[in-house]
Amino acid sequence: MWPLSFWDIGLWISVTSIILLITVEMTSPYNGHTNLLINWKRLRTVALITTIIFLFTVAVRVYEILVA
Amino acid sequence: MTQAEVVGCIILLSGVVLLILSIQYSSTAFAFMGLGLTFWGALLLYIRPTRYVQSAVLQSTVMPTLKSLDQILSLLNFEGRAVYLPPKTLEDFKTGKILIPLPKDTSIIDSNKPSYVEIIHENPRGIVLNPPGVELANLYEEVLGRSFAQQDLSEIQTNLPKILIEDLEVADNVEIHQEGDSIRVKITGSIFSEICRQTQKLKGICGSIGCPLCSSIAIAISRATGKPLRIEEAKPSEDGKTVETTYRTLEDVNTP
Repeated sequence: MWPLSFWDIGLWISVTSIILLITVEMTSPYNGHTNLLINWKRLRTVALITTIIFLFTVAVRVYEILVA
Repeated sequence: MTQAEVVGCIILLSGVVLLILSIQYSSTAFAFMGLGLTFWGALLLYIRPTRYVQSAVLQSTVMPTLKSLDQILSLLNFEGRAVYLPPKTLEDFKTGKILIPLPKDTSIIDSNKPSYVEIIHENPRGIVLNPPGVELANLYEEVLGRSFAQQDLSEIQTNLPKILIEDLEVADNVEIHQEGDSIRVKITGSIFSEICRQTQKLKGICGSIGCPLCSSIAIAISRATGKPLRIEEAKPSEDGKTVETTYRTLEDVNTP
């Protein structure tokens, strides 16, 4: 049986998205980091997607609180 | 398979195994570890660069062509300053052309009709060539998804730095300023800085045709303004990190 609840995954996504967003900001070409061997645009896309998923979990939580 | 791909695959596979184990044993710890490893493994595979080329390779490829071009122009006495021709003077503006006139020719460049088709041009007397930055300029348009001819200079001032810094990662910083008919472009930390520094020694290239990067920007400005254009000056800083280039848009002009 799958051991994690929706909130466990929400917590994991929140931590991951914060790490990714900080990484994206620190490795931005606008800060002079044009020599990094990563596809920065793809990293930014992933960071934004995980952030949106995290915000969705927050919205679900808020909705639950309001309904309760 | 590259080293990064192997590492990415190993992390991804370990993550998947841990996820399967977490379901089998109902273990939260395994599930978190599995999620983490699967996600970061997949991310490592996804964010790999498309292709990596050392800048020294770029330099070795470009310099001999520029040196040969400089020698040919000097030998044939085409020592006038190159004029970047606007799209309306060309049959296919994607090709981009420059006119290098003979030094003593005082004829007028007519920028209103598509007349610059042949390599040797009679009035004004000069040679019509493809500039070294034409393919780069076409690449900028491809990345942007729009032609520079459909934009004005203020849009170029916004879009070109974004393409060079964020999309292509060619430079650390790009500033474009307009002062009357002259346009000043300051590029910092460019991968072409060494090429730009070396072209300073080539009289027919620097300050006339320009290095590939200066040339590509000249084409972009010429397409946007719809006017002939000259590179007035290309000035690298002492440490070689910054190159400041001044372009001047021309009306229908006398060539010398």
